[in-house]
Amino acid sequence: MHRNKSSFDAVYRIFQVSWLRALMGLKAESRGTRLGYLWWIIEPAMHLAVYYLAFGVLLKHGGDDYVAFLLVGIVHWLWFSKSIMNASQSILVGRGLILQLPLHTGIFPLAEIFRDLMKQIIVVVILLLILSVMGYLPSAYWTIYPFIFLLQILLTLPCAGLVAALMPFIPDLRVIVPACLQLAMFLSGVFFSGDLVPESFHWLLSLNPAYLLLEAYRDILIRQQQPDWHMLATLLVALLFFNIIVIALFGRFNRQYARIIQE
Amino acid sequence: MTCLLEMHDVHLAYRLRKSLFRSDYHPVINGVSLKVHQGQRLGIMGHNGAGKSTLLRLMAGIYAPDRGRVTNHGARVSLLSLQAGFDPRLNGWDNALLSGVLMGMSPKEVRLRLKGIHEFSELGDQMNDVLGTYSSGMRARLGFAVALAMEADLLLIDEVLSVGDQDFQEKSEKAVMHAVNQGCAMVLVSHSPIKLKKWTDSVLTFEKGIICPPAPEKVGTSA
Repeated sequence: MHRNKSSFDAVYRIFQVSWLRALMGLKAESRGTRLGYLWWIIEPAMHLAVYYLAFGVLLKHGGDDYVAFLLVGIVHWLWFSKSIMNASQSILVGRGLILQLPLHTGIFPLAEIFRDLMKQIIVVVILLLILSVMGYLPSAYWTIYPFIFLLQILLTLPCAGLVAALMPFIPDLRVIVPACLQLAMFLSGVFFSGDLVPESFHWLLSLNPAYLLLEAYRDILIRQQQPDWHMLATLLVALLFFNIIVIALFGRFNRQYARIIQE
Repeated sequence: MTCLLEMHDVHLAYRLRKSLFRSDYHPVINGVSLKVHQGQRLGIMGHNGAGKSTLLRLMAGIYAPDRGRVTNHGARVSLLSLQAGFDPRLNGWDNALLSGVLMGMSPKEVRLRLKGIHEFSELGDQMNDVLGTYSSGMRARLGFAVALAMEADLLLIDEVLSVGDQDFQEKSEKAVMHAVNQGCAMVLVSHSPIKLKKWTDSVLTFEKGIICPPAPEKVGTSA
């Protein structure tokens, strides 16, 4: 317990500990298999190959851009859903540590988010390579990519944080969260584009941040056009608010977790 | 004499969930007040289940009290938590780094102490092996070496230090004594009066959630 430290130091320490925990987690993970670090490349590559074969080669489904459309959707959706699933259990998994040391509870979901973030960077590189091979060559629009990537991080952080924070209070979420994620996947346009949805429901789609992000990725990577900047700016403001709320929630409940986990 | 940590009328009850809306409360700490001063070696004696570990967790800032105050006057409090955050898939160095950082040091501080940790743990070349291959004694030695590397003002120890073989036990006892002689305060909780007498300069009895009054003549004296 460091009472005399400023809040900046406290935040810095949360990031430092989470980062180290994420790095060590990745290291430990790779030790568990024979191919080790290579899996970070092989696993997503296999994943993408399966979708490519199933939809691009076997089914020849849905028009020229469909395979690329699908790959971009899948890669970014899986990142979001994996981060949430991994973070959701993190506080319960960290039970032993929470009872042993005065740690900030935010460390646990944050470490999981960092871990998936680092893996995702490799996945994105593979995706961009595949897209280039498929004929979607790099363009100036690709420079917008980091901004949308960052927006997605801003979406993942509070969603994952919220689920992780609630899980110890409501263990039933363990069953509810995967079901919700699956539903959200179908509602976020991973498999379809907006023009397949009746005009009267478009307002509903534009309320879904995941859909907006996936479309923005596709705009710059596939359609070679500017994303809907107005929408993205609104999203940025909304996400910043969401982040602040979840951070406040962690500040409020942080010291209760040791008790809740124990009881 | 500087006061490091102060507990004022601290209460804590665990909640036992019976059903969706019904829960019972099991009081563990019922109004404990105490002070820990610099260089003090305080022993707290209590039976199994008396709430000794809960008391230490309150001191360490892991639990927040239901009622009352736990005031830390800027002391680095360390609950001697052996093997915190150890991962069987990582080697000794990585585990020492991870555990040290979780205990409150910065990665830089731990790296500076790694050599000392390695020496103290007597692991030799096996430090490069994965923790999963260690015996429980070896793990405990590494855990103790890391915990000791952390420079604390107040060391909280749950039960006696029985780590590794006889030699290592003596060595760790000496190391803790050394830290105490350097001015580090210590709170040791145990159910064994003999150990407490050997290790501490004042002993409080903790029963039914309160500190019992006997043996006041030595309470609060310094080392």
